Amino acid sequence: MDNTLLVVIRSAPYQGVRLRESLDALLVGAAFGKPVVPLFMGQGVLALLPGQAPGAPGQKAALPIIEMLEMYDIDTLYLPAADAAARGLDGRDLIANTRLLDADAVKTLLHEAGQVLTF
Amino acid sequence: MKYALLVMGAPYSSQAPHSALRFARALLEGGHTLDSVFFYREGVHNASFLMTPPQDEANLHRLWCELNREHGVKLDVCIAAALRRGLMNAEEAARHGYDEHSVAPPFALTGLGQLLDIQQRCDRLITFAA
Repeated sequence: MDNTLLVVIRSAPYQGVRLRESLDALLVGAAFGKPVVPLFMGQGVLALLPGQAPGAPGQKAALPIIEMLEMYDIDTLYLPAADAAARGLDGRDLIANTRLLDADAVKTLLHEAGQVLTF
Repeated sequence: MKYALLVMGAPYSSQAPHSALRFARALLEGGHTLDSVFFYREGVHNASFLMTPPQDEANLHRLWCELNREHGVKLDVCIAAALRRGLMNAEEAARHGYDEHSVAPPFALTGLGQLLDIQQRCDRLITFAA
């Protein structure tokens, strides 16, 4: 079976620590030497918007962590094109190294991963 | 089949732990194995032995302990998520200079690496999100 760990992230930034606790799972997976693939779905696609500063009082920005993922060999950040479009976004609105997928490609990604964690 | 559960909802403000417990009982009755339950996010509050709901309501902490006692199900709690929310065992309390603690065996404080390990060794990991 494929050893890939697919982490599905569905939390928007600044929604408490939800997004950051999801990203922790990504980082731990990578630190364990597993091939890790992140899929940002639903509100999670908002995490891929550039220019995010620290948010509501006391909330850190998660974007610096996302921009650091490349150092952990997590090169491509996937998201469903439909979830971006539903929020009025396309590829040009998002940070680099994101890849928009059509519904079939999302299905394939979920199907082929050895393990899936959903946050 | 060997199962594990991931619980991310807080007791009493989320249906997730109740559903997870019912699912756990159902799969054990069905002859399956339940290896571990991992508590993450607000789910870490399930580990507090100080929870004291009214007497006519289920005490979720005790129900988890019963599951451990009867079936040897491991109860793992993410330590980072727990500390952030003020939950810790005696060892962590001592390390951080507190007099009191709220987590004790059979709940074990562990890391997210343990979650990946559980997923690796089980056939199914079922998530109960809030």
